[in-house]
Amino acid sequence: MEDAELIDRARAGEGRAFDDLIRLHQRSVYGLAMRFVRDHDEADDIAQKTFVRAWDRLKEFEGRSSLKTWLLTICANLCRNHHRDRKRFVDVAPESVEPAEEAIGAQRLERERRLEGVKEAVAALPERQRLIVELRVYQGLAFKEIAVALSTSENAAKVNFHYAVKTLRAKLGDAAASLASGER
Amino acid sequence: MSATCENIRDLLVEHLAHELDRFRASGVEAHLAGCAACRAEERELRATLLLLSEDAVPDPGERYWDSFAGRVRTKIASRPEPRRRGFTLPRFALAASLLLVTIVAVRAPRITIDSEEEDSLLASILPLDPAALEESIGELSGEEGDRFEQHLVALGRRATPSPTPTPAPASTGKEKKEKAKPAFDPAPTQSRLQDDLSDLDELSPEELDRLLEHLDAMKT
Repeated sequence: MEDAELIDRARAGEGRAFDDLIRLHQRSVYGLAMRFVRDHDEADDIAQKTFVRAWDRLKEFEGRSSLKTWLLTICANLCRNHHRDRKRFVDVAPESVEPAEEAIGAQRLERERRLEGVKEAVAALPERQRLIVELRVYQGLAFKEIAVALSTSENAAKVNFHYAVKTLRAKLGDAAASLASGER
Repeated sequence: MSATCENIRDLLVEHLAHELDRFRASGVEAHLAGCAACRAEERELRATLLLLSEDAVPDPGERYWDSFAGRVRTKIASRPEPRRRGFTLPRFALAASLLLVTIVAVRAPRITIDSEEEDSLLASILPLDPAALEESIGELSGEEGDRFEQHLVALGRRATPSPTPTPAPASTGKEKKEKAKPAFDPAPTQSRLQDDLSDLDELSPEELDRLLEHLDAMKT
């Protein structure tokens, strides 16, 4: 069922329609929150708050963006508030690497190390660039939608993304270069 | 690095994000085909984006997703009711009071004196001889005389009258004339008069006409 129809029914007070909207977008919302806070419980809390706020403000949704973009906007704002409340991004503790079989152990370790570098590099980006990377790379939003979500211009979103990727490439230099040479 | 290479590299991120229009995208591809350095740059940027996409969020599992909507619904139901905007009793009382004040203000009889009338009054009162003024008061009825006295006090032409211990049973304007004469300020300031003229608003149109007639008669 389309978002628009579910929104109309949810606005009319049909709880079941709102449940369906939640199910359609819960992964995207949780994913953005999880990337931001890197903690399941906190991400779960932010994701739930996102939908509670959406329920309260459903009548204000004008359809200028997709419902997904609108929900991610609410979620991004909650993530920002969370960040300001905590005054820090949660440092990601390196995931414990289980001892692997000899044959795949080195490869797996290398991948873990690389991912760790990616997380740290993304976490070190300025907040705005980080959000744009999250929304573009992980949520697949177009720059036009990102601009709406972050109350900025499409061009500013593109420029920020450009600088973010260049910064990440500089930080991930070796890993990116080795991956690039492997692709060749 | 040539200026062209620099321009192309500025477009590479957008190119990789498929955000370039067809014309510019074909220009970038044409350049990449002939420039090894820019091709290497493009490969590294592509690899960076690939690295980013490898960082998948761990899936909390189907059980989590199945219960998520229910937990949101519980959260909505358990929180305190949001404050509704509407007419509560105090708001209604305030609105009713405001409405009443507005009605009274609109319907109450008002006398407006424009600037020409004010000038005319001032011109009439200022050159009056005190004796002539007293005489004109004597011609007014008791009530009119009292009110005119009050206005003269307000205009600075009379000192504030001291309260009379025993009021006369049937007071007239002529009796007033025989009372102790109040002090007369021969030179009231223009600004004070202007300020006090607002009191003339309290006169009814008929009273105002009669006052002007008296003043005109005295001048002639």
